[in-house]
Amino acid sequence: MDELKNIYRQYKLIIWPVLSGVASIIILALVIIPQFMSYLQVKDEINKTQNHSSRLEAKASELEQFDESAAKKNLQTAFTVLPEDQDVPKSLAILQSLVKASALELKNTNFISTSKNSGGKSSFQLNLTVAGPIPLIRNFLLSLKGAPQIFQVESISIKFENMGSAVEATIPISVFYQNVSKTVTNSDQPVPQLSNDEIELLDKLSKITVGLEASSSAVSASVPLGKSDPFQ
Amino acid sequence: MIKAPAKQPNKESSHITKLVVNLLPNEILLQRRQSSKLALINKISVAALVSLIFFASATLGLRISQNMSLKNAEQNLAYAKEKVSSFQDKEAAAVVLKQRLSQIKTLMGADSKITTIFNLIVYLTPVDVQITEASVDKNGSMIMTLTTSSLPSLETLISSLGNKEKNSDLVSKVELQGLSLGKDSIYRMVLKITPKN
Repeated sequence: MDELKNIYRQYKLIIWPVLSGVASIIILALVIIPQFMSYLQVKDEINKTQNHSSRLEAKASELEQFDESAAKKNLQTAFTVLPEDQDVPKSLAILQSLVKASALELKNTNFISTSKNSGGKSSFQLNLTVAGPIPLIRNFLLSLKGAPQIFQVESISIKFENMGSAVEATIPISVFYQNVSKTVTNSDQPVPQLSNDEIELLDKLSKITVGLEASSSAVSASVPLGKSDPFQ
Repeated sequence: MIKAPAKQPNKESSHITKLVVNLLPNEILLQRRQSSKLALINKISVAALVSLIFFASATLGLRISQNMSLKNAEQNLAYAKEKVSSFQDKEAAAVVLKQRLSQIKTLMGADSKITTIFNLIVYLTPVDVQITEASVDKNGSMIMTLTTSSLPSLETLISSLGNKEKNSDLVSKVELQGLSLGKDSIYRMVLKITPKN
């Protein structure tokens, strides 16, 4: 006890300052500095969160104004031109109408299910054999570009028939279709906007497909449906 | 300790000179000086410690309020995310439409050499030349058999095919694979046309 008193008497000038200095350093090192560093970190985090929030709010207001009915109509057009599934009868009907419009005679049609994937796209092949003058065959090939589906001519083979001006042409045509992959939307991605080219393309395609819908409804109207009650 | 007073020259010496006598020993005076030093140092130490404690409390208070701001910001973010996900169908429609149009654009933009070459040849072929046989392969190479009674027409066709302006710079090579004159005075020619890449 006396020893402690002696030590205290000897160092009393510096004991308290040392203790408070050590306590100050501990408070500084363990409380103030870490808290200040995390304050800066959290400040950044708050800014990022607020920016993210404002981007999402802008996206939400953009989506609110999005014309869903126009988008559905455009999707319908896009799926008419590039169908989801292999629709052979519809493609055949379109080709037949183009052949008829070109004043050619359709002699034969063959279906080949190739289902090849060229660059991720699926297609099947229809082999058409048409007869008529060469300029009309040329017109038919030109009309394929403006068709309401995507047709690609694979080759052309022409033979004269019976020394007349008409030829017989065998034209294998690939018809493309594309399955819809599962659409995963990402809230961080902006709403995709159509470019001017795409809007023009859509406009052009909708004009072509409107003609197709009109002609298909005309065809269905002219097809006899039979008696409403077959037992009468 | 006895202290002599300071001399005042202009005053009369009738006053009793004051003497300041400090009877306290030196050690106690030293002790008092040390005590006052110690007290000062202690005051400074306490002041420093108290200020640090104050700063620490202020920092903690700032952090607590900052955490509340963070919580608010996170709540706003969650609300915004919820709002965006309520429009998921619309967004999906926009994404699918964009993808579809891009695929259509790619397919439609694909260069169809077959149709182009065929149309070019038909366009350049003079009226009095008949194409009796023709085949165009996948690469756009065309082999055709022509018949005509007019040799100049065949020459016109070949020169048109070889002319950059007339063939729209689409033709790379024109090969004459056969030429014959029949008893019926009809020329028969086999041409192979190779398009440019």
